[in-house]
Amino acid sequence: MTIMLLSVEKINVRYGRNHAVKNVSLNLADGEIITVLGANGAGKSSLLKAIQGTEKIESGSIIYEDKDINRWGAPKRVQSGLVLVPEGRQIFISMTVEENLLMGAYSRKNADITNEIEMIFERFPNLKERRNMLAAVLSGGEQQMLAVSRALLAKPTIMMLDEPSLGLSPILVKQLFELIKDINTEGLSILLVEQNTHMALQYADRGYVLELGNIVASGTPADLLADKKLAKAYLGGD
Amino acid sequence: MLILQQLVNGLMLGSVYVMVAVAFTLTIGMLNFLNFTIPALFMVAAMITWAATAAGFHWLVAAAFGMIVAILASLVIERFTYRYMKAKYGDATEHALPLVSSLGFLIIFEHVVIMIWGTDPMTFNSPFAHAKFEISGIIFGIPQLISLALSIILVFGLSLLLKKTQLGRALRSIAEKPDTATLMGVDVGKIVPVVFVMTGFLCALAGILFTVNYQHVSPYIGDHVATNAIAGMVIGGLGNIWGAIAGGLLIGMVEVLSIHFWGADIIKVPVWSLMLIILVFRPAGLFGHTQIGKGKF
Repeated sequence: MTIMLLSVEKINVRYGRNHAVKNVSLNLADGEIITVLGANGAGKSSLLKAIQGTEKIESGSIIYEDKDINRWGAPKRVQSGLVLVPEGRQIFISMTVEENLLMGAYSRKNADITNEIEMIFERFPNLKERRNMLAAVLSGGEQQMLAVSRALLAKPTIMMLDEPSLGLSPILVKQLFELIKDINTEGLSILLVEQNTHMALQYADRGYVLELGNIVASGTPADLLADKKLAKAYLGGD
Repeated sequence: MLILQQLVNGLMLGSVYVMVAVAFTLTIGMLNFLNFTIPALFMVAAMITWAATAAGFHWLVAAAFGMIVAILASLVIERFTYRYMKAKYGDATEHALPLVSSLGFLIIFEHVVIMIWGTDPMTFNSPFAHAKFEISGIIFGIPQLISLALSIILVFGLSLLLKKTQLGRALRSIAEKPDTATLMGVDVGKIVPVVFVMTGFLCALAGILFTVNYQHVSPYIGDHVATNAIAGMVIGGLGNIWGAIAGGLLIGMVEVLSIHFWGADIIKVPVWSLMLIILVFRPAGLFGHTQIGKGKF
């Protein structure tokens, strides 16, 4: 059995009467890309927030690097390498591009990140050109690059992305997934939540399908796509 | 020449308003919270400075007491108005409750002080009562000049802190997107009290300088100074610390000039009329307000 980097075991998340995540279990091995698919309101974001620690779980446990992290607050989880790129990118628009990157490294007290920032700028010349401008001037695609770069500066072990392709043109979506693949090749494990099932399954090693808070299917992309009923209902296939 | 003297006096008085206006604008810009306890912090620091001096302490020691008590009081307010409501409702700013409970604290603080020392204005024997110099007939009080310089240095320092430091960026990230700030590893629960420490510090310093400069204190001085500071903040632009400087100094001058021309009874009328007129023509204030809760520093 492979040793899991992250194991989510039967967690439940509830907001008042809304039982958003029901007995969900999933795991992520070191170096893997997994994807969680599902419609709006399936509980995908709640699941990520629970793993990140910004949403409390009612029961179940989250094991990360062999440690039960249920009691850890979000800042501690970020510091130990669990980093989320939130839905809608959530760039700080009142800050410059560079300040956004500095915020990404917030949890790494006293680390010298000058070189890392230069490497990011080498990777994304568009960001370099605008390093001293307010991030509000960036296009959607550039903002997504900035959001991913900002997360990279936190030195994640696991990068979680919440619908990163939302609102991007097909060409940018392709670029984004290539970037995710590159990051993965560089050693990061990826937990990707997507509605763009076609692209997600093309890049992921395994996938889970979430429906109304329940995991209704899981497996390799080939398995998931082979399931006709599933493909029709959730995966946009025909 | 008399007018020039009044303008100088107005600037000096305005510098006290600047500090209190910046305190208001910080909590509004960062937390979208109009903290009504601010007048009490100002007054408590002033009263304690007076009382401890009267009890025989050196005025600097007395001022340190006043400062410490005001900062502690500010943290109590954070704990029981802002944080409590935030924990209970998720987002404190969507409710008027913190505002009302901070008003409650204001009244309680004032009345505790009244219970101890009564309502009579007290005289503070300033060690610098005669420290002044003259330039072509215009008198400059040295302590007043020092408070003007201090308030401008402080605001510059604050603005640098917000722009250039890790703490400053964390504060600005909370002002803009608290949830995302958490994702960066910012411990919002630990950083928010910093805003209240700053608030307590600014108000206490203003209160102490006011006491030293004007040599009287009463349980009600906070109300007068803080309402003028609110007017100054609104004139400058909510959540804008540079606006708070301009607004505070302007209010100081308007106040002194209206006393000069029309007498002391009327001073609130020109100050608040000016604010209302500016709001009609420039609802965002002279320097533009930031979107509420999204302070731009």
